[in-house]
Amino acid sequence: MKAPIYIGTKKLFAIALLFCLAVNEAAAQVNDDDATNAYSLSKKYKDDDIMCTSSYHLFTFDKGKNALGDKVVEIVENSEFEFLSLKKFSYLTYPEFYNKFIEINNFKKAYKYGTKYVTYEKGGIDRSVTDDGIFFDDSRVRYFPVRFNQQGAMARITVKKTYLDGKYLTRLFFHESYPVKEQIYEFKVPEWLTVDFTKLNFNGQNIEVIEKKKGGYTNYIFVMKDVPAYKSEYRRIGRAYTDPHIVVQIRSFESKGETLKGFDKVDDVYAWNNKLYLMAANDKTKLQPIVTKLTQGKANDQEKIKAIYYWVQDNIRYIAYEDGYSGYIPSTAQDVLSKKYGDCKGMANLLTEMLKLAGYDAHFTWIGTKSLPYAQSLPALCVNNHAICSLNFGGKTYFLDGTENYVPFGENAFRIQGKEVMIANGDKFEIKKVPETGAADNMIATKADFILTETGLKGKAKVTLTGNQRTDFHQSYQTLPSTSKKEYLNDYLEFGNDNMVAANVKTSDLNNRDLVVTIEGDVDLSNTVNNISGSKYVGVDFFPKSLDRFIPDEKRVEGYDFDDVLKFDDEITLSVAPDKKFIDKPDDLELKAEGYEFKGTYTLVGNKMTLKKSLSIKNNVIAKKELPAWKKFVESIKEFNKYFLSITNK
Amino acid sequence: MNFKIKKSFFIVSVICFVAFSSSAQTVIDDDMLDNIEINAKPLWSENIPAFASNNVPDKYKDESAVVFGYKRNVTIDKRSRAGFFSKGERSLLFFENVHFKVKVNDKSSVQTFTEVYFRYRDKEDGFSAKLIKPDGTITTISLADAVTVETTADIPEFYKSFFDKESGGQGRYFKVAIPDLEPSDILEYVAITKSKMDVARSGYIEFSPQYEVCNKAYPVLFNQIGIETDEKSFFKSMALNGAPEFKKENTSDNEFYRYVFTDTDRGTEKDVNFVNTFLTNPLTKFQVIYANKANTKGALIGEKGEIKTGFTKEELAKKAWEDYDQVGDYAYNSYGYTVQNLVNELWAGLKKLGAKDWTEKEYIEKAYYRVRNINVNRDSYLGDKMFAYIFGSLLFQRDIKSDLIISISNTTGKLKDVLFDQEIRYATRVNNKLYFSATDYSNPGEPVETLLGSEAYIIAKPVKGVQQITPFTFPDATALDNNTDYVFTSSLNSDMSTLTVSRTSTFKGISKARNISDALKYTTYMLDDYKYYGGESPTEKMKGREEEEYYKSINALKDNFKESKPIFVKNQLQGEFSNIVKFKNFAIVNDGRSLKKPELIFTEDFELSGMVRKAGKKYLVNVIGLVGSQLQIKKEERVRKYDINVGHAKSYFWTINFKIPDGYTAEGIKELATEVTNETGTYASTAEEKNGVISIRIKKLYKKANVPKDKWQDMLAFIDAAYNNSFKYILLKPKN
Repeated sequence: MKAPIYIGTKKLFAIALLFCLAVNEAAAQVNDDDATNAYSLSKKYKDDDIMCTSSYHLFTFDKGKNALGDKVVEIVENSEFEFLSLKKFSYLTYPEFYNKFIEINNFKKAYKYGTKYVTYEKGGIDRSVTDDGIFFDDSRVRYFPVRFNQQGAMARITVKKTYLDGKYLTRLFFHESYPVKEQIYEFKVPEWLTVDFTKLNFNGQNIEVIEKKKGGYTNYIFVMKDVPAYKSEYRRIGRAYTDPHIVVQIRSFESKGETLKGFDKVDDVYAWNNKLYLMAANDKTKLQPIVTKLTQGKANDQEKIKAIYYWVQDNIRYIAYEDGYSGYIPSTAQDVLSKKYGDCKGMANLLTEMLKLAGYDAHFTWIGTKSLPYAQSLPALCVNNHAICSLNFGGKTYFLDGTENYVPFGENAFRIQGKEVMIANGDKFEIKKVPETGAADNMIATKADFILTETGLKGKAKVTLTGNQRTDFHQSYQTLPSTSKKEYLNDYLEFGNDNMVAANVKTSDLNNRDLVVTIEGDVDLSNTVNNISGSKYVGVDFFPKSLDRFIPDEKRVEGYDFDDVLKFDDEITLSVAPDKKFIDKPDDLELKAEGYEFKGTYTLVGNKMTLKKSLSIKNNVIAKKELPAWKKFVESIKEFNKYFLSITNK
Repeated sequence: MNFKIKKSFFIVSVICFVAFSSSAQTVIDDDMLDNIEINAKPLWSENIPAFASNNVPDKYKDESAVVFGYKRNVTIDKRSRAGFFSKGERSLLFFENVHFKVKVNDKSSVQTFTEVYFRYRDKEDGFSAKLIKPDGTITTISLADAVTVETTADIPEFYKSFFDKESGGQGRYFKVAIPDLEPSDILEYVAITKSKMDVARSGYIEFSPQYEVCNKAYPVLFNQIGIETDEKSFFKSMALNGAPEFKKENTSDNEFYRYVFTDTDRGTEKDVNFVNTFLTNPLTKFQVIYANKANTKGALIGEKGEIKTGFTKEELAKKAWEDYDQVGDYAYNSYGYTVQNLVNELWAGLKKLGAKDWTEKEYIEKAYYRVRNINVNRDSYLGDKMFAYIFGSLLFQRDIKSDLIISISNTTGKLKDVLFDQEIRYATRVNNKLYFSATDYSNPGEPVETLLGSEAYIIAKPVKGVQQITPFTFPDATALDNNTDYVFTSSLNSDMSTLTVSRTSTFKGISKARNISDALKYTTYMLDDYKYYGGESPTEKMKGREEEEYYKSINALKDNFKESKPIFVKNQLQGEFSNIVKFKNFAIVNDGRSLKKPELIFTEDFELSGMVRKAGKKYLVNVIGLVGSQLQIKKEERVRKYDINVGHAKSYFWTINFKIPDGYTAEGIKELATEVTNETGTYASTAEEKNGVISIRIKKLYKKANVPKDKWQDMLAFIDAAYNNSFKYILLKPKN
């Protein structure tokens, strides 16, 4: 992401003063046309400091060899970007990312003096961009700080990059972190090359596609005009689902009279993936002792499978190495076993080999998590970003993810549910789909029985967690310092309410991930009963405060992704003494939409009021067009939650 | 760089580290592997009983991890005993070794220690780690898979060498994931590093003051720091709050000294309210000073070969005066421009403005504001010593007599606790009025939170070796001196769901100092700061295009502030009320930056949701909730272990006026009244209805900055009253 960086206000003032002391040469020579243009565009792009007035990428193709000695297509990208400052002071960091598959051959920054650009800097600042969750990788960035102190000032960035293996040029998006007046991708395709450009999310977008033939080349040009800036938003739907982009597929190419395959069909992707997978030289003999130890004495096959699966989950730490092709070649099973750490590929490889050794039909499997919208039918490397193990057992296929601690056998983490998998099986492969679960499979059920006292509520509460909610609980709880676990369990019964105190907390067997998790105990709620003019007013609806974060404001551009489906099911009772009575109760509320629903009822029986409330998030995504209805939905729930029960003497 | 170099000796040579290659992360090579293991080997043969045991005492069995031993030894040697470096004795050598052993009891600590870091920059650097399984099996951790760490900022503190922490150097570090690490395992490592510093032209170097807080994240059974110096270095140390002291140990070399700190069986401490670690928790502070000149005597360094554990009044005063006296020679910027040059320029500028004709009072104030203006235009503030020097020098130019006062921060301790130069604080007294270092926002004479009630000495320039030192105590503040006063006007919107709120906030004393930065953020207070000392506008000498550009810059700044301020205020309000806020307006009434209007006053208009509940046709409004979230003392903190430090005495007043909606009557007003008052504090709330408006008046006072722990229940009484009252609602009943 090419994200602008903003500077502090005091510093901004200092820059202003500094500027006045020594007027910057570049800024002093802003030409009138640029100044007028910037002024006009600043009215249109009020939230942006800088825009890109021209963004042009030219891709040319050549033949080469990759690090494995294979003949491949090399792709050279020559790009040029012109940036215009819409404000007097503005700043952005322009990055170009690279790794062992991508070389940066040329990288320049120029500022505009009058009508001419003068090169100011070459090469850029070089840094590693290894993610926090990655132990070691080859991801790096070179970047230029681009600083303006005049409205209308301009800069130009020019880049030459080489993709040493064309397979690894996968996706091209049109949106940037700044507005782009015209984003152009041009591909100059020679006759010896067959390439496809899969157009995704183009519907409803103003993208022109031009095809030109000249001198043995076909030029494919994609032009998108007036591209607004991509804005980062809380829980925004992944951009691959919403933003237009091109997936580049090198299908085949001619070399010395021979036709060489690229990614023409999904079979070709499998062949490539499998080639790298098979480069992991597993030595099964080294796995035998642990497999024997884990499976001996187990009553049946399922127990044996669980023993192996859970052992990998519990004992192999996730530590990722992503370095060139070794980022795609799994560590050997014996290496992961002896080190007790690995990444998804390494864990999947170990799990597969252990299960196979125990006599089960297990297979290494590639999958794209939910962050990627692509089907396996798309022959491209951007389809998959994760590895798991598939197990055919009892007439059913199970998907075992070693990286997902505490997922019970037969259940799947939400991030892989509904996703197609590519299952290795020698020369062949299978495409299957990970089963999906519904909201009701992933429950947070709360049952609380309170008795009204003079100043508060006392009672018992029980929380039951199923499905992914149970797994999420384990993933947090089991990795806490032992000294913090009691407090964590109490928090579950205190509903995020500072006035609730839980005691005598008991749980289900938390050492068994297969069981539904229950947490129950005594609860004491203070500062909740208002004694006014002889009556008592009390709320028993513990509104999930987190919903506040999902109320879109007027600037919200895109929909939400909850990254989960789940159901909250609450039953709260309040009993009052025989000499007291409830004066009224609120109306029931029932709201239904395709992806979510709510039902809340208060029922009075004798001296006991029961609130039953359920909120189902059936679809993890709230699309942009649904935001108004969603907002109304949340506000209705908040309104329902506002109710205080009135209690008076009989 | 953290080295503090005495200007009066020589300019220290710049330590240049070869920039670490910026190529991609790389793996360790075979040559390194050969050396590093061999170099570390001798450390394993050290016979230290603390590292012999693999058993955790029962009382720590439920802890996430337990540190058996953490031993650090730093040898600083100018005599250059190592062959190559000894030529000409140009270098100060640092030999460091570390021995660490921890038992990881759960997955959390396994994750904490999932990887280890080590340095390999010098061929004599060494590292070796072992994993001990519960059955006693010992495995040496292979470093073959180690990879480079690009930025040392990513390295956990306890893996960095003392020298690299000191120098900020980018030594070459590696990290390795520990294979086969599981709960109940023991991780043990040893590390040795060698570093050198060219001191050929450095006469005096103070290494950073070290504060060793005994309690750490995990229980530590044995914690030892050894410092060995040759005869060129000095060592000072002080143990506070029951911490162990450094002790001098014999060495085989008469010109070599060894000082050792040993702490044993130290548990963890919970993070609780109103505790200042420096005043409460066991800690030992220490510092090494290298000095190759005899004339360092008199500085706060003690005697060679002896541990200096504190300083007399006379020593402190002398050192403070010497330091103060040298400020004029300090470089103010990198162009050879000294602080004295700055003083001269400021004086010349003030003279042009007519300073010679101003009254003494007017001159003092304008001199203060002139120096404040320097701070306004700097990224970082002048230290209080430099401020005192510049301000005192400007007073001297007008023959105005001033006193120099030295003290210690009340968050650090008493004057007897001063061990480092950095702990000495400076202020100026003129005609019995105190002047403290200026911030962007302060006025002459306004107090500083960290010096309230602090012990001090008024010190004078020594005359013929005799220095006048007069004990002094900085005035403390009362709760009312540090007051925050909120006045609310609020009403229920027609949707009977949100509150429309106007709030006027007035801050005095330390409360102003604490709030003014946020209040004036994204405001243009800095643009006319020159007016406070009668200075000229920046545009005074500008012409044509330059002036035009200045105004363009200022307008851009204003535009930026105009966009940013509402977002900032909205976020602040949402944080304060934990509810959704619709921002409407913010305005400064008094910016609090002048003596004529020293109070900070601003108004905010906004709409607040989440404060209204419904009960049939009635509404309940948490009007008193407009006080914002109040401190809650949870169950686990209700038994007090330490004395209470609330920073400073302070008071809060709230006046909340709420208009009862037409067609409704209000009940529950008298229920809002409550009062708790005792010697530690007060919470009092009254409420009444008049002409359809409910007025609630609340005051909350923390009467003392420091309260003994046996008064904790008194404090809880008023803190609880404030917390509990904030949840009350008033009831609105329809009239019909």
